Amino acid sequence: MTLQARTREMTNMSDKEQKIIIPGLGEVMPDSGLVPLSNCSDGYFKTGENGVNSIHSTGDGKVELIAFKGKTLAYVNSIMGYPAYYPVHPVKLY
Amino acid sequence: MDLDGTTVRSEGFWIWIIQQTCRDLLKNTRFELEESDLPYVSGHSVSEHLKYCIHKYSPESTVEEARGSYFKHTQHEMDETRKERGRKGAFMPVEGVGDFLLELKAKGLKIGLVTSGLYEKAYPEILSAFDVLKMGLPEEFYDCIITAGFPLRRGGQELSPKPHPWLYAEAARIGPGISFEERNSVIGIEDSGAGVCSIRLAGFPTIGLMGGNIIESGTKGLCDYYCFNFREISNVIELANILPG
Repeated sequence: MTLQARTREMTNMSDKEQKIIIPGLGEVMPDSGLVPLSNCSDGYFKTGENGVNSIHSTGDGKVELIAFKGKTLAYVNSIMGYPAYYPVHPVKLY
Repeated sequence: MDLDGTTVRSEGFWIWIIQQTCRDLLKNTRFELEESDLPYVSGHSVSEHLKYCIHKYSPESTVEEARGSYFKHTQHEMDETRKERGRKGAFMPVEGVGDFLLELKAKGLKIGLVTSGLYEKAYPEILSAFDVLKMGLPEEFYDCIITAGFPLRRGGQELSPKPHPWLYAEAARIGPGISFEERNSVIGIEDSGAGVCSIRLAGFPTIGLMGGNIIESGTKGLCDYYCFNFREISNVIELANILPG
């Protein structure tokens, strides 16, 4: 199942409404490998609550991206029990 | 720029070390990893690789026991490499990397090498590759080399800081002295998912290189560009018009 289809299934939104932007990263493209989540794995953030627009994890689940209006936090998981949050800063190549 | 997979092809060697470790744990000198094991014994941290093998093949063993064996083999093989008696072809330069590095140097761009591996693992690798490329000593070529440092014996510890941003942040700041405000004058190049995340969280434009586990780890969305080879990366850098530091 594609990322878009999974997201559609989770949120019950139409194609037109489905464009997801992660501030600092850009639009979530179908081949991005990112997977939508309803909750951050530490339970601190939930999609649709407290200003959280979306949560996506990398395909391997090591990093989760919590998107708010205009800013994104990255949650780095840790098998050693020391996870961390970092801001996702926008970058520009050209 | 990353070491393993991006600058030096060493994946086969490190998988072989894990296989040697499994042989120790199982006390079976004929043990072979399976094809299906490969995604789980490369591209992550040593502890994660070993945990996978223990879970699948030797549930009675501990990670500490496995790490002890892993570092024993690593130290032995690295000593052999330093004495030019190491496994033939263990550390070969990635195709096109020599010309790419020389091209960057000719443009006056500063180049940093970044690895999650310990110095005692990383240095013989890059030295072997530079020998093949006839490029002299790595420490004279690079503007900075950032590794996970030295082991705190006993037990041989290894940090695995990617996907945390610290190593790349340090490579830009400590080596060439580039401040956070100037971060868009830096480009990070990686072939692994953890590495891509590390660069991107450090706040640098990120180029993913095919050949590692970027697609498999579902991290392509964090790459500003995903390139198939160094020629393509050269073109991206050319267009970016990054000025010499």
